Amino acid sequence: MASIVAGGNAALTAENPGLDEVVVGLGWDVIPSRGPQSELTAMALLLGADGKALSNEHLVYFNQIESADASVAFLSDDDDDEIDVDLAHVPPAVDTIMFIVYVDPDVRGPGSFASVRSAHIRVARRDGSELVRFDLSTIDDKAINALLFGELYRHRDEWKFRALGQGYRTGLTGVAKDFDVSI
Amino acid sequence: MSHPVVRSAPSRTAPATRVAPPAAPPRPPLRTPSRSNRSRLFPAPAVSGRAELDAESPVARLDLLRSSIGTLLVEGATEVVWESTDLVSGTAAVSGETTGTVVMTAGNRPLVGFHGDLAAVTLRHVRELRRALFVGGSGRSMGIRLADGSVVTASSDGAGPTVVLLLVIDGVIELRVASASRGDSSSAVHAEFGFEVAERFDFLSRDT
Repeated sequence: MASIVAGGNAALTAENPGLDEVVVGLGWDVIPSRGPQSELTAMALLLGADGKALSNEHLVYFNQIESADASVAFLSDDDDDEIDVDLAHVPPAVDTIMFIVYVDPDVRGPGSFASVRSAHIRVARRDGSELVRFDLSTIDDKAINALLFGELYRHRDEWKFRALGQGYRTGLTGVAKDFDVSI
Repeated sequence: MSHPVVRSAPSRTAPATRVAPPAAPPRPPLRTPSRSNRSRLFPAPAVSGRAELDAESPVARLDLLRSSIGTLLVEGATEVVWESTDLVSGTAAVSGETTGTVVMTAGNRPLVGFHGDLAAVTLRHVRELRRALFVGGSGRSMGIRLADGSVVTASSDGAGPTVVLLLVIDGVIELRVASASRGDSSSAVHAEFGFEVAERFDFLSRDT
């Protein structure tokens, strides 16, 4: 298992010959509250070489559990959200798979990442053995309501993972604008 | 005396040490795209910007994202009745009165209820909801607000209360406006649209 910091990357397939599938796990703890609390949602965006989502069919989250070609699929919506990536069959048009987590913009006290602890993203084999892990720092900024956790990206004929940890104050709307998702 | 030039064909056999191993056959995909129930839905107008539902155009369908982000708010409803995918049902009135069972979500918000004078649906948990019925006043319209700012105005020209039926089909919300013909009681309106609210059964307080 390798732990990396924001901005760091790991050569997944180059260092693990034969690796053709990974499970990306995203997890966090929300400080318990008697009232409404932050509802975090994980989402994978399949981006082209221009850094834009190929279409709204190319995002994966709890309400669309497979990409159009089924190479990326949502496995669970439990404590740790898991997204399976069939690396060998990701369409060539997909250059990057971005993993984001947003705070659902409920009008009744949506909250922010300030109430979130132990956020992390991990890339593992199907059998659960961990390849790389990124533990995000605690965020004190109460305005942060969406975060880019990390990305899988092509590098020549290989797949690599980069840890990000980049926050948004504009929530899912800001993410959608940057990646050309229509909401 | 010249000898004919004999050209030998180049060998087509590469040295044994340079023969590449046969490529492994490609692994089949882990999954094939599943056929969603959505692909079998009859066509319905999509909601974008400002839309109107009325007797001539009573149905609209939200897309996946609008069906699952933020809060769906209904202005002008006096009562809402719901049924979850677990068949848990209940009602809430703008006055604060509730019957049946309130479905609480993991974020400590009711799946369906009132927020001030607006009826509200927690879309983060849309897949826990089977259907809901928003009941308004007779001949009065209701406004349905989505997280992206879109507004759907629902009105009816019948004599009974205006109602908006919300159905969740494979994570997609479908809205239908109608006019209840039997406005004499809440339960009559519920029954007209197939809702029956089960009384709450409280094991702890029940006399034995």
